[in-house]
Amino acid sequence: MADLLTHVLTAYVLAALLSLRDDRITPAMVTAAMVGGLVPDLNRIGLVVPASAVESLLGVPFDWDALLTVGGVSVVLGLGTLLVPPRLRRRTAAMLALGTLSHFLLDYLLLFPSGYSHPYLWPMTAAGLPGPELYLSSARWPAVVAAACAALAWLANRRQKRVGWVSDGRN
Amino acid sequence: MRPIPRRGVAAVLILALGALLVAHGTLTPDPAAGRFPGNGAVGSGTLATGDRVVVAGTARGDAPGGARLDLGGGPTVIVHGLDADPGTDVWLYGTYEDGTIRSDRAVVRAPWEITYLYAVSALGGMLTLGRVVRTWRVDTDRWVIVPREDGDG
Repeated sequence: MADLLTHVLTAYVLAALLSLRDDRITPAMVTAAMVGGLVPDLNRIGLVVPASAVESLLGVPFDWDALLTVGGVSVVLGLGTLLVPPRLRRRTAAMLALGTLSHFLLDYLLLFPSGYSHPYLWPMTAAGLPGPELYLSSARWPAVVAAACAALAWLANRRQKRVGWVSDGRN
Repeated sequence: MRPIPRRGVAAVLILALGALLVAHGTLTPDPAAGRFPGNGAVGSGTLATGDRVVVAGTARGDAPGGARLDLGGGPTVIVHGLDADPGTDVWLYGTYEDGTIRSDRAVVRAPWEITYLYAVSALGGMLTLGRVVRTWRVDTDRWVIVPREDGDG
């Protein structure tokens, strides 16, 4: 994981920029993208409920890191999509997936001591991927860059809203 | 489009999620696939000299030719070629050699950097939660969540 703030801000930026071009991407849908941006880090449940505790309770192997893979995330997003009314499902799923995809891309850029990333593509492949090793999850600059981009995206949205009102004659 | 039978789909997805969580737990280290033995393997003593490992822990002071590393809940091992101040957080890739580890590449971080990671992550989580509450609401009539922007859901 890069830090979660970087992940949700990146999802916000992508969704907010898309919303400039597409009216269907409402503030609620931007939120859906941000939620998608934090879904892969649900494996951090393991910090509270260790996998070893679940293993001894259930008597079977268990690993929360399944949530940090495309397989685990797809199922979680499927469940999330079921929470909204049918007419919003496709749109919500797309926005959740946008956030999640950006999460995996940012995590792929992380530095791992072995040079191999977490096996994000599981269950398609259980192999770690050699990545570009750009930063550590504790690096400070990704959140700074993401926050600056988020501020610009927020301003662009606010500006468009004002211009829209003027041209609609509603102002 | 006919509405999807929600309860059935949810049941299938929950079963699938459980299956994935268990299946991922059966993955074993495979150096050829970039998955290396970790703290547990060092603790259980199942490693042979020359095996490559990825371990994480806290530095506990100098040792001849390196530093002692406390593998959090596991044993304390001597890591050759590691330069880390006591108390720093260490994440390293190395080679197992007769009960010690030779560091090939180590990430050494001060405790505050880890604290920063979790604090800023918590901020990201709260920011998102706040936005969820502001832009969505629960429709208890149909047990769905709907955007606040459209009243009819």
